[in-house]
Amino acid sequence: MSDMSNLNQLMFNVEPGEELADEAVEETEESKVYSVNELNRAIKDQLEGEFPMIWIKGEISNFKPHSSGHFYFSLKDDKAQISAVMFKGFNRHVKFKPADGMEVLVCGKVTVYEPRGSYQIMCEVMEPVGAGALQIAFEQLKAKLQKEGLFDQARKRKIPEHSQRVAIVTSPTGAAIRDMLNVLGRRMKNLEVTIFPCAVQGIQAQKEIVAAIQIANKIGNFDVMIVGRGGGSIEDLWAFNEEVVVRAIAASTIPTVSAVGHEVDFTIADFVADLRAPTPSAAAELISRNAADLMGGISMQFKALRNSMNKKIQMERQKLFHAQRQLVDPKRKLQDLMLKLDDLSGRVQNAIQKNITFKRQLFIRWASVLDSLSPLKVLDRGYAIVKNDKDNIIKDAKKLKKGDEISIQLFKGEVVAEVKSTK
Amino acid sequence: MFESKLKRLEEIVKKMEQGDLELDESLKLFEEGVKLTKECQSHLSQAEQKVKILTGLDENGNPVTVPFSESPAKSAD
Repeated sequence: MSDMSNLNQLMFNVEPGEELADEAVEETEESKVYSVNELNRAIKDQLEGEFPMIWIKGEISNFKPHSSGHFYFSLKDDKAQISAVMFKGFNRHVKFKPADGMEVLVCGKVTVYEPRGSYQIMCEVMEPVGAGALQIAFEQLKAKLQKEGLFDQARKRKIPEHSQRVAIVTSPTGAAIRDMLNVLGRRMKNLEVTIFPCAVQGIQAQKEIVAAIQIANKIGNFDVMIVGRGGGSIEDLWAFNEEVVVRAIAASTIPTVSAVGHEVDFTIADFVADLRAPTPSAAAELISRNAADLMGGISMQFKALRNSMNKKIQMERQKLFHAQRQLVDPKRKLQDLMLKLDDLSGRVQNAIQKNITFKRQLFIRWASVLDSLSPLKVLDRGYAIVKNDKDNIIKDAKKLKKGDEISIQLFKGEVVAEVKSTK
Repeated sequence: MFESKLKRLEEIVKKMEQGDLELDESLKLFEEGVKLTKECQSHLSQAEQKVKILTGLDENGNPVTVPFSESPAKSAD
């Protein structure tokens, strides 16, 4: 590596002049004369003994990931630099991608490479300074997937309001499953829940979570899927920041709710899921409706139904009542008629009575007039009526002759006489 | 199933509340509404939680599940 050979020259090139000077000193002061090899060995012993495992803070520069998988780089500050190496066996535990300019804290030991007389720090642990390693890895993956559009709002599917078949991808022994089943049991017992067990932390976790998600998708026919676990450290939750897990969630055909850790914990799974629940319990609440609320709703609907029916019946009754009022009771009509009849007959009687009285008065009047005109009245005054034997009234004497029988009616009684003479 | 029943119930209530139905029709709807109410209520009050757990795949790759009986959590994960 060119940078390393540069460093070698910088640090440990022994100038021929100095060597000569040392030898001169040795000669004069009976000092030991080292061979180069001996010196490097001595330095190695000294250095490696002095700095067996130390923490160094510095900025990465000249970072070169080798095809062998090892990292070669330098650590520097404003005054100096030191070459560094991190072998594959160690650097695979580094969650973030080191890059030039990044301030890091490394733990390692100083090693001396005798053949070249060079020294370097061999790193076993690397942590970013400031943000943690995991934090940086998180941000890096988040940025990458965001760029791919995996978090786009348009990708998010609606979580059904009322799910019947629920897939839960989590540990079967964790607090999360217990919490979720508790919540579901309390809210809505009538659900079909299938648990897809998987480790949610540790080396196996990412593989198992991905497998569980894929099996759930293969079975299909789930209304919703919850993927999650209970609270823990960022390391405990880390599986949900692994790219394979996040991509499995993104690829899920079942609408997915992420439920990782506590409310404050955000994982990349949360960004890619259709819905993020702050906790597993909250996830259970989000995917289920409350049976008690629904019961209340149904009761209200039923009440409304009953009220409407009652109102309808009331209305019909009212209509009937009105119609009834318009129908005339025949009995009543009869009474009316009878009254009318009474009334009329009364009036008729009155009229007749009045008429009779009037006629009677008229009669009396006429009768009196008649009476005054009666011939009897004249007889009363001394006149007499003469009739012949044929009962004809004789008003002319010439109608009679001697010997005719006549009757003379007087006021009182009648006289029959014989005519003696006429004049 | 449940959801569609609930929807139908709501629909019936709305229709009834509009109140411009024949009595006959009202009675029919009312009857249906009462039936739906009972069905919805019994659906909700089903007391058993049905939880299964995947135990593996059979030789054809089909999932095998058994009823899940909750055991006390061993860890807080």
